[in-house]
Amino acid sequence: MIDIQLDDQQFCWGDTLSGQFIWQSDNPDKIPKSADVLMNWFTEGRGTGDRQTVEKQPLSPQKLLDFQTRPFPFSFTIPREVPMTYDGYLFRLMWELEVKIVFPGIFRPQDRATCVFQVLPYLQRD
Amino acid sequence: MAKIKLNKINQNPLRRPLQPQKTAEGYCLVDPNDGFNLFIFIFGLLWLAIWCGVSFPMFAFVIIAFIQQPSLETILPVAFLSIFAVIGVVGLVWAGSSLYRVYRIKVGEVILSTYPLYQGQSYRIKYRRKLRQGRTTKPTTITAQWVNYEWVEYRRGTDTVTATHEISVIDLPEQSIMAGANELTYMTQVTVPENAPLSIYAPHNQVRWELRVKIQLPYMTRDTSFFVLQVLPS
Repeated sequence: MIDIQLDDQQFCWGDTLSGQFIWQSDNPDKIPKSADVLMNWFTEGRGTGDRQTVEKQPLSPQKLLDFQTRPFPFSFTIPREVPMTYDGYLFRLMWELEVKIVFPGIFRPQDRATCVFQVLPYLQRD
Repeated sequence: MAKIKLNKINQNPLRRPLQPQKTAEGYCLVDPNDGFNLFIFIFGLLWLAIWCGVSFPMFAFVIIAFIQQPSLETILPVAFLSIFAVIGVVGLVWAGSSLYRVYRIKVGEVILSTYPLYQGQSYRIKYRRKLRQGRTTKPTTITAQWVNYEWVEYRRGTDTVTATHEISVIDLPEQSIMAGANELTYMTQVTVPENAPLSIYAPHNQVRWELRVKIQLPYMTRDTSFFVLQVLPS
């Protein structure tokens, strides 16, 4: 099980997206083969779904094991000229942070969790 | 909100519109679609050649037969083949008018002082379209629209289908062109609202800002130029 926590939910171009995730393995004998933290955008709606991984941070499986049940920090910079979060009539574009841990095996079992955030032209602070 | 349908996910980078060229006048963007596709033209020409080459002689033959021996037996083939002859004539007229338009007038281009565009800003835009041959014979008007719309593409069976939804359409002021002009020039100003949706150019899902300029030249052509411009946050 993976629990992701972001320091904020709204970002602009050039902002730093930081947070942490906690991984709790349901089987302590399962050693991950690879692990990544990815920053993606994707579309949903009437059109064919588009998806792009904007940035990817590979994680060392050994380090991940050392951090098990403890917060594992991560940090990204929102690049410039990426599409903004959009909710329209025919489609919507959303951003997510994804943590993916892949285990060895024929069918590549994996633990995966995502957390949605927004990339906006300007921040709306309450 | 449209019903969400999860289709096949494509891992593709953004598909950006054409970028303008920096010139001495400013940023120049040429209409990528001049209405003349060589492959479609060749295919159409072959199709017309076969269609007219078969239907016109047959139509002429049954017409002669009807003239020589008017009867119900000879008029029925005339009525039947007239449909094919009409389709052939319409095809020839369409092909001829397309070629004539390419022959008489070049593609349109817009010139901007700055690019890309930003929210909350106004921009003066110059549209220009030159005639290859001769000059305009009658006065005409140029009209334009500043359109913001969503565009999506998806598969329906074996077909690729597109759908659009207009978010805003702004009609820009008309401009008259006098007779005797060898170049059509249209000056206008477009404003990008502060809270306007920003351009998105995913491969199958896009938010577009488009300038549509329509010209109607009597006895010459009727054509619309489309220019997709990028809008970024202020």
